[in-house]
Amino acid sequence: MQNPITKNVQYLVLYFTFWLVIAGIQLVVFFFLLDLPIVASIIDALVFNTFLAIICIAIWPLVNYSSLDRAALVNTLATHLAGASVLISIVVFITWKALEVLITNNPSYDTFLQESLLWRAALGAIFYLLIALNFYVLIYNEEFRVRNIAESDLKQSLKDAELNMLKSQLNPHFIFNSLNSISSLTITNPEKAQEMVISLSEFLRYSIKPNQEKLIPLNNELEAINRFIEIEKVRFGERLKVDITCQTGCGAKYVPPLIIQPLVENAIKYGVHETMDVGSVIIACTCQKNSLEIMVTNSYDAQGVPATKSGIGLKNVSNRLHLLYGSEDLLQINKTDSIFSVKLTLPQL
Amino acid sequence: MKILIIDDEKPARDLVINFLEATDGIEELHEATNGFEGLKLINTVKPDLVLLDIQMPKLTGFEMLELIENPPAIIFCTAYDEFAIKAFEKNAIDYLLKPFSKARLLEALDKVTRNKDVKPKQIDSINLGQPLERIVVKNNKSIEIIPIDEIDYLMSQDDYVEIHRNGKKYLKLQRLKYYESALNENLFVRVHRQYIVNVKQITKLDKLGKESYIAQLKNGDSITISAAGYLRLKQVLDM
Repeated sequence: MQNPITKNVQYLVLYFTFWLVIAGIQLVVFFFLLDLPIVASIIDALVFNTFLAIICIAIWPLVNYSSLDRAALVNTLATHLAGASVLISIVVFITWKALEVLITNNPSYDTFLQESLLWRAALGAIFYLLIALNFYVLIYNEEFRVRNIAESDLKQSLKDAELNMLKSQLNPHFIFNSLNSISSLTITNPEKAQEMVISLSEFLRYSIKPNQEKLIPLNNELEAINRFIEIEKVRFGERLKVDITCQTGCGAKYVPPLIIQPLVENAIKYGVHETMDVGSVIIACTCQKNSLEIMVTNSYDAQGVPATKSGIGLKNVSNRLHLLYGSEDLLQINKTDSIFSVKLTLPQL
Repeated sequence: MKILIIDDEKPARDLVINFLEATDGIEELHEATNGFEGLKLINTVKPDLVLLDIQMPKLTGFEMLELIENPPAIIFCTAYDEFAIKAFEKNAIDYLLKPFSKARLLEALDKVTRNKDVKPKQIDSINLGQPLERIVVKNNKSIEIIPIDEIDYLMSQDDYVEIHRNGKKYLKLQRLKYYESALNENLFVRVHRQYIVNVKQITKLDKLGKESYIAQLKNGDSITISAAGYLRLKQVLDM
């Protein structure tokens, strides 16, 4: 760390202003209380405090290189004792010699000067102590600040890592079954195969885009969902019915990317994959000035028992919302005998 | 050769039919869109080979197989399933990962022809790496899907396991040992050589002998608990 006093002009001015005030106090004491002549008082105050000011800057390296750790405490004390002795001796000595030269023909002042050396040394020691302590406080503050920054950096990167993990992951079943459908369509309906390749590519591109935490307009997310649904419709044909309604103006609202898609995927999984007749999925968006609500609803067979446990996709979305918006109740699940619906409330900033 | 394709996705069935239509040695091609339809066709058509998808509504390919006593040759077709792949390697004649080529399909068919004298064995149930949520059984002519939390207890009966649920019992060709590892171990405990019990169904434990107990169940039945079973039960119930 650099010497805080000489680091910039502002601090330097402040430092010398402090000493000017001290010099002023000394002047008042000398002139009014000790009845010394005004000129001698002024010269003494200026000379003594200027030397003190200059020499006290040199306390910094001593503080900077001796820590307050318990293990090094004896060393530190020794350093400061030696440092203080040398620095104060220098100040007192050169003040003494300088004042002898500057203030002549004043026998009472001469006596005073001789007698003053001891308290000048004591005063120097007090200032040394004050400034050294001040420096230690500064160092402590700086370390604290740096540690805080490091800590919040660490927290942020932990949060990023967590978000990355929760980010909707491409379902391998979906990818390979889609590729299989394309393989089939190349023979039975090449034109449709080409359409599906494009839909799949667009959906994949959207899914693997970096910077998943930057908010995007709802319209972009809905577009990706449409691609996803087109692909699922090829796979499941008439079994899948989807209805999307979006209140005007909501399309420009912002959402985290791939936050609605997992809900649609989940709705299709339990509403369509697990049923043998037609399953329907409804996506509805409504918005107000500072919030956007998205409701994904699917029909399901209450008597059915899914082969595997559900809800991991939903849990991920809920955790992601919590990390992004800091609120716990942004995802709500509603379940009746034949309808399963998930409502997202996304705050708009 | 008579072939049955069971897959709930039409494009997937179309592709296989397209691959096989012009192939020599295939007399009949049938298709089913789910496991129930598949079961019916296996009984009526009696195919030599079934091309079977795993992920299907209501009844997975594995569950469907559990309901057949003398299965035809099976080739699994699936998109992605890390546990299933392990299982195929042990059980099936071959497995195809979607999407597959015509050549790969014909190669699998070739394997079936070469092995046609080998009697297809009953395929072991496959532990899919997470606890079972349901057990599929045949009850007279119908198929019943039992959610595991409705099960009171399971009891071994020779080659079968008797599944008790609300006073009704269902027989399933399976070993009790399989359910010991396939069911949620915090809910189902092997308390005796012959029994696995749903711990939520136990109302009372009575001391029987020096180290054995009798558990009274909600449905009125009582089952014996061995010394080792009692220790396991104590652990799960945190007594």
